[in-house]
Amino acid sequence: MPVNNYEQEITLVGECTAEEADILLGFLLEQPDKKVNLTDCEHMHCSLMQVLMAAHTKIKMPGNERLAWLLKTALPNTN
Amino acid sequence: MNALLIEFINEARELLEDTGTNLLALEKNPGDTDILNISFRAIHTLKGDSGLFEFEPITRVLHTCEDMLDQLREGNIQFDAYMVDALLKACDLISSWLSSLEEDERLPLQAPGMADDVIKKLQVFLSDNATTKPDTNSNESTIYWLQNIPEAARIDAIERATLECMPMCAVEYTPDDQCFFRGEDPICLAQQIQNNLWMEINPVNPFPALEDLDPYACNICFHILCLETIEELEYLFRFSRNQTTISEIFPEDLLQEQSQPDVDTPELNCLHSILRETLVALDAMSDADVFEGRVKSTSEVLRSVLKSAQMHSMVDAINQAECEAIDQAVFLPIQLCIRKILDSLNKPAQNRTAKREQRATDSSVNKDPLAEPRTANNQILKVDQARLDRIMALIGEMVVAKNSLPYLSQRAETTYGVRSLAREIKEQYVSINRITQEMQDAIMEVRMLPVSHVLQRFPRLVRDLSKKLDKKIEFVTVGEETEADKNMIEALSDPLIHIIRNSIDHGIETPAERLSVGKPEFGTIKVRSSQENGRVEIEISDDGHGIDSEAVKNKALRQGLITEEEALSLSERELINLVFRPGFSTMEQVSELSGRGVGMDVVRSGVERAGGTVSLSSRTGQGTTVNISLPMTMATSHVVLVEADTQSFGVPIEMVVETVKIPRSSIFKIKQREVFVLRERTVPLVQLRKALHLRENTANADDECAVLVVRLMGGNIGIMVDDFHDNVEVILKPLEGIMTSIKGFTNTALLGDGSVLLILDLKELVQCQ
Repeated sequence: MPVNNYEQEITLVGECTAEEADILLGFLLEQPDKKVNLTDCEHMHCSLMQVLMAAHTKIKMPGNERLAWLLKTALPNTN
Repeated sequence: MNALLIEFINEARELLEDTGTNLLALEKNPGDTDILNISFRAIHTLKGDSGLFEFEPITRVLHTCEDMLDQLREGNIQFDAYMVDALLKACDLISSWLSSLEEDERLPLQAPGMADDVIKKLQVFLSDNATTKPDTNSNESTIYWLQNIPEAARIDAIERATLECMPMCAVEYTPDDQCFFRGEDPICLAQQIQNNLWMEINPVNPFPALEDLDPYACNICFHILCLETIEELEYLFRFSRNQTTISEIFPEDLLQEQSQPDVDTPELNCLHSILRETLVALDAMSDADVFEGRVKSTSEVLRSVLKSAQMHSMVDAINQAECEAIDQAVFLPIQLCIRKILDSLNKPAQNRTAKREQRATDSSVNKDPLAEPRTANNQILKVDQARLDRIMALIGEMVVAKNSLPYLSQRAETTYGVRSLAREIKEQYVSINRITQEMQDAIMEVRMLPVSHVLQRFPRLVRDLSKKLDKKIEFVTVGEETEADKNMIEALSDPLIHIIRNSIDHGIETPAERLSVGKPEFGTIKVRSSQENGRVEIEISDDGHGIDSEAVKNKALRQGLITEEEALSLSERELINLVFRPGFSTMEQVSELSGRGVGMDVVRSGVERAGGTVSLSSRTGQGTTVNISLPMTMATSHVVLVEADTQSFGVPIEMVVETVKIPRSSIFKIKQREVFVLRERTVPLVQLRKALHLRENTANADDECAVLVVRLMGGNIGIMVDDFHDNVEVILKPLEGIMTSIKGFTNTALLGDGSVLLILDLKELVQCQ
C-alpha cells in the first residue's frame, strides 16, 4: 500500500495514484493533526496534493527533489 | 530616411505578405492551429515593431487583429470566412499606409479614421464573446500573478533569461475540475516543463472544510514562469489548450512589476548618468592586478548611489553581483546588474519592443562576450539590391576583360612571334576564365529567387476575384521552387497578373455553366514552373472554355489586323495567337469575345522585354494554356558572331536554331521572296547584306551559302550571312542617346579586342524586307 496509517504518522511511499487520494482523505478526516511523511514518496497524483493542501497538515518533505520542489510551492507553510 | 523605419517597412511588408498567405491557408483549413499561431505571432511581432514609432493607427489595427486571432486561438470565437476578409482588409490598409510611410515618412491624415473603421469591422467578430471573457490572455495586459514572484526569483529569472538567451514564458494552467476523471495528472504535466524558473500552486477557490472536500474535483491552479518557447509549451499543453494561458514575457515585464522608486526626476537623471558612466568605465577596465579592487570600489559606489536614491531593493542585487564578479573574475555580473537597474529606471515605455531594441544595441556597443553569439545566430544578411547589381556589373566587365586574353595570346604569337608566351597567356586565361565563371555563378545564385516569390500574391487575387464573380476557382502551383534571377522573376509579375486575371474573368465558367457541361464545379488555374536548358518555363493553364478562334479571327479582320487571305491561311493556333497583337484588345469591349484578350500585348511586350517568349494554345471547351519562357538571368548573354561584308554582327544565341551551309542552287524565289528547302520544309530566307543595305555578295567560290536558321515569330527563318564565327559571352548594352534612332539593332556589346559589336534586331530586319 502506498498510503499507510501508522501510529505516529501517515506515510506515502513510491508512486501514489489517484485512488490513494480517497484513502489519504479518510485517514486525515480521522486524525486531522497527524503528520504526513513523504520521505519515500516518488510521485503523487494531483488529487493527493490537493488533499494535503486542503488539510493544512504538517508534512515531511520527500527525498525526490522534483517532487519536493513542487510541494514546497504548493504547501509553503506546512513543513 | 531613418534606417530603422526602412527596416520596419521592409519587415512589415514581409510579415503582412506572410500573414496574407497564412490567412488564405487558414480559410481552407480553419482547424489548423499551427497556421493560426504563426499568423498570430506575425501580427504580434508587427504590432511590437510598430510601437517603436508613433504610428498609433497601425498599432491599434494590429492590436485588434491580434485580439481576434487570439480569441480564435483560444476557441472563444468561431472561425468564419468573413473574418478572413476583414483581416485581409486590415492587412491591406496597413500595406497602403506603409507605402505612404515610404513616401513621406508619415501616415495619411485620415489614417486614424480609417483605422477606426477597420477596427469596428473587426470588432463585430469579437463583440459576441469578448464581453463575456475579460481580456486576461492578451499579452498586453499585465499578468497579475507575476507580482507574486519574490525578488530573488525575479532576479534569478531575469539573469537566466538574459544569460541563456531563452524566451521566457508565463503559464497559467487551471485544469478543469473534471480532469482527474479523464486520467489527467496536472502535476505530471507541470513537471514536464524543463526550465522551470518559478511556480506557485494555489487553489482556484478556497478549499472547503475537509469533510466537504471532494478530492476528485480538481481545484488547483498552476502559475509557472519558465524558460521555454511558446511553441514547446503549446505542444506540451496541446491537450489542455483551453485550460492554459501561455504568454511570452520579457525581463522588462518582471522589472515593471516592481514598485517604482519614489525619486525626483533630476535625481533619477543623475542616477541614470552615474550608472551609464560606470557601465562605460567598466568596459574600459582590463587590468587584472587591480581587478578585485575595482569590483569592490565600483560596488561600493553603486551601493551608496542606490541607497541615496531609495532603491534599497537593488542593493542586494549589487552585493550578489559583486560576489559573482569576484568569483568569476569578470565584470559581467556587475554590468548585467547595472543594466537591469537602468532598465527599471526607464519609465515603463509604451512598448517593450523599444526596450528590447535598446538593449540589443546596448549589448552590441558594449562588446559583451555573451552578446556575440546572439548576433551570430542571425545568418541572413539583407543587402540593398543596388550593391549586388554593382558587383554583378563588375563581374560582367571582368568577363569581357578576360575575353581580351585570347586576342593578346594571338598577338603574342603572330605579331611578336613569342610562341611560349602565347601559350602561357592561354594557360592563364583558362584559370581566369574558370574563376570568373564561378564568380558569375556565385553572384547569380545570390540573385536567384524562387518563382513562388511572385506567385504568392495570386492565391489572394484568385480568391478575391472569384468571390466577386461568383466563380469557384482553385489555384494550384507546381514547381514554384524553380529559381531565376530576381529581375526575371519581377518581370514575370505583370504578365502573370494579366494572364491569371483573364483566366478568371473570361476563362473559367460559372459553377452552373461548368456543371452543365459536365465539368467539376471548381475551375482550376494551374501555374507550373520548371527549368529547362537554362530557361525558366512557366505554364499557366486553366480548364475554362478556351478561346473561340472564330471570334478572334472575326475581330482581327474587323480591326484590319489581318487580311481575308491571311485569315484563311492561318492555323487555329496562329489565329489564337493574334490576341498578342498590339491593338487587338484595347479597341473594343472584351465581353464580345468569348475568350480572353485583355492586354495580351502587354503580356507579350513585358515578357519580350525580359528576353522571353510567350505563346498561347487553347482548345475550345477544354481550356487555355499560356507558356512563358524566360532566360534565367539577364546579366551576360551568349551571341553568335556572324560576318557580312567584313563586318561582324551578333545574334542572340537563344534565337539560333542551327547553322547550315546550303548550295546556292537550293534557293528559290516565291513571288518576291527567297526561300530555301531544309529537310523537306520551305524556309524563308533573308540576305543579311541586303537587309543591312551592304554591298551585294559576290558569289562564293564553292557556291555555298552560310545560313543561320533562327526562330522568329513562331517560325524558322534563314538568315544568309558571309560566315559564322565563334559564339562569345558579352554584356549587352542598350543603344543610348543618338543611337536609339538606329533601326535594325537591339544592343551593342564590347568585344575582348576592344571593338564594338552590334546585335541584330532580326525581327525588325525581317519585317522590313
